Amino acid sequence: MEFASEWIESGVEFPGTFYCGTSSIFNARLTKMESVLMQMPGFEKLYSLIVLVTGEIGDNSFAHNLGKWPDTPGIFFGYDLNKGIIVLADRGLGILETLHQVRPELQSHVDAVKVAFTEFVSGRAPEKRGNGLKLVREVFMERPIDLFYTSGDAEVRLKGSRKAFQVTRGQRIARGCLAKIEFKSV
Amino acid sequence: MKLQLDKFGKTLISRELGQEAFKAFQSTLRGFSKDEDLEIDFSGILTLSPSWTDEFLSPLLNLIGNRLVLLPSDNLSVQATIRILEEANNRQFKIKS
Repeated sequence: MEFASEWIESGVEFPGTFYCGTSSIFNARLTKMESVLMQMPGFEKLYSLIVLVTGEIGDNSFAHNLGKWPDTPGIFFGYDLNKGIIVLADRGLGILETLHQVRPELQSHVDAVKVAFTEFVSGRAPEKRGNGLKLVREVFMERPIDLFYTSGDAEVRLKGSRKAFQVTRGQRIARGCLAKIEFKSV
Repeated sequence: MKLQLDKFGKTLISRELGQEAFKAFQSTLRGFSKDEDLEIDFSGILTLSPSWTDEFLSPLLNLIGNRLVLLPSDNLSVQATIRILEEANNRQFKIKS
């Protein structure tokens, strides 16, 4: 988590093993993670939803920043399945700037992240996109998987047994997006 | 006609690959009879995402409508993906019981 936070906040380099420069590399590493996760006791069915949310968040980073990366292209993708932690991060445009192109009335990171997680709207209109984060939210709300997500100064925390979706304003400003997915491994 | 979706891979995640799969399927679709159903078989799929599926099944649904028939699946990602796409497209898939 520290590697990812420091990278998106101040561009501090991190070990190359966590770096996915292209979506193909991300997909290959995701498939490798899937093959380990599906064999872990207790995850025989749940693995597919964890891979789904990880894949959607990572794929969003590539899809929405294609040809627009402000500096370093690609994403941070690290995980420790024994500890039940997956972290994804990018130094892309972030949710507000991406959605601002199709929803110019959005003024704050909090409002933009709320829209991204609750409405069928795409930052790549007129292409018909924008269902992934809605499903991500539903999966975290319904399943024993926790999420911390930040973009700009907006933060989403879906944690514990009684989750309520809420976007709050945090103390730090994240460049791009950062997601931490947590689940209890047996 | 039955299409084993895992012919495109067992982990179907990105939009980019969904678009590629749809393009690759065009030649098969050309030989598909107008009186026939196209059954989508999800067996063998490990993870299916809404991004991939929106690039593959949504245009197929627009093209052939109710002749697109989904076979039931107990995979959680398949069930969740179908549900969200139906909501996003405001249109139900025909699911074989």
